[in-house]
Amino acid sequence: MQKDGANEKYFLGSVKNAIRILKLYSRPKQEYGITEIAHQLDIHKTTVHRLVTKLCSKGFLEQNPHTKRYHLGLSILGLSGLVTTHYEIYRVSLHVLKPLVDELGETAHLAILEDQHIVYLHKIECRHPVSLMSSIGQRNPALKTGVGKVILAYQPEEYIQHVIAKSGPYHCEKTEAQIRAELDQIKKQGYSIAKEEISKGIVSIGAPVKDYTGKVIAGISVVGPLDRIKKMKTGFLVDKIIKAAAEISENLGFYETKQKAASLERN
Amino acid sequence: MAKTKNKSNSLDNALKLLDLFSMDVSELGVTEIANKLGIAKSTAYRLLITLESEGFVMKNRETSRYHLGVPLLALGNLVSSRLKILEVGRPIIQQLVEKTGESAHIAILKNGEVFYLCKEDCKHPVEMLTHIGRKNPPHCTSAGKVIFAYKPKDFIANYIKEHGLHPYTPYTITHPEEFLRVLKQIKQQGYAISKEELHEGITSIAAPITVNQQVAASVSIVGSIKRIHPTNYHSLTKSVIQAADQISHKLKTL
Repeated sequence: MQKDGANEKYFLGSVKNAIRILKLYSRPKQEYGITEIAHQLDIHKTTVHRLVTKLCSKGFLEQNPHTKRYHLGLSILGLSGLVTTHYEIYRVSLHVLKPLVDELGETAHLAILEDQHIVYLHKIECRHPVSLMSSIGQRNPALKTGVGKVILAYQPEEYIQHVIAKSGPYHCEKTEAQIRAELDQIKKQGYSIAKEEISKGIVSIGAPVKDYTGKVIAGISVVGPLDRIKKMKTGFLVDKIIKAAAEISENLGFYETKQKAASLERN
Repeated sequence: MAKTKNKSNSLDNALKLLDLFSMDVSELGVTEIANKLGIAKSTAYRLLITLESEGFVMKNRETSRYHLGVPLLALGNLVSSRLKILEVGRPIIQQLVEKTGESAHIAILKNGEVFYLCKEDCKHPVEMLTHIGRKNPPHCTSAGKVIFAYKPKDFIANYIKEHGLHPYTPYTITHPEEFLRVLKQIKQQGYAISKEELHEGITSIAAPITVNQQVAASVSIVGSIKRIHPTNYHSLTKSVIQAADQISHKLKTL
């Protein structure tokens, strides 16, 4: 999965396998026995047993006393709590995104750019969620999502170059010139719309979030089924989303109005 | 055999490495990690690239230092979704935040520490003192004291023997006898207040959550002494107790 395959020979097997055990867990499957883990990951049972014992001793796994199987432990909660603390943007966006979801009735995301991918830091589901290709912590190709394109549109030229070069198979239906024209357009209008690019029948509208220096460091998007989005006026939606993004930026110390006023004066 | 030992050491070190991150430490460099864990730089590097390959840490391209990775959020959410007390408690805690205007937590006692399972921030969190999964000493937090108050005497005595009553501010209770007296009072009144006992300028109010007829957790609100002031202790305390009772009740009827 990782791009730098050259490093692979330096990976530490037991660490890699231990994390693979932790990452086996999912919402539908919250408990695993030793044999099951060994099967799934194709690791020897004695090795799994040793790793699981160690993970239990540090609170990363816990044994259910009734079933004797293992579930994720509270130490994980500690680390994920730190992640939310370290990303200031996560904290300041919560109180903006919740009302937005309530008002629009569609799911909202907060995402950041990591290399050629976007990672969802937060997802707030609406009352009637449709199944989306997003979950917290998940990666999607930046060029395939509304939120990814809107962040990308504001990045320096070298970064855009880097992402286009690395995204190879993801944009085979588009030429580099088309992608660039699209990013230019997004930057000009200040938002992005991605219609059915990652899943059929799904539209996502994205707007940029700026830090106190004016640098675009994240994006928010509202995502929903085409028919529902169509019923609301696109202009109305875009307006709400841009406003929410601006509010988050302001919470991060960016003063849009001041900069806007200054640039208006200059013009 | 020696090889097996080495293998467990690298997992040990990886878990210790993750533990180096804290509320104040969001980024670490290779050398720093090597020094703190007492391992070679090359080993630290190998730990980091292995953790990075699974997204548990990420490299900051600008500083070349490492921070915790977003995939941990997904796993943390899984843990939260498994815990009944959070499923039941979170909406109630959210209401409590709206009602009181202060940040609220659900906490349990784990290995002699207060462990925050859930936190809801108020609209303007001025001070970032806690986060989900943070551990705090129980003797100087309302969340801890209120659980302690319902524990048997030898449990408390053991705690004091093992951990002592370390002073964090001039207001921390450090005398065992006084501590026991305070706990007795907390049990009588059904709530705990901790005024500047852990952080100066910060007060918290907590009430107990009962699971299977035993106090197993607590609800607490935390905020500045300017807002959580003796003049509004009464109304705030009432709201906290109400939230805790509601959670206890819902857990019973599940």
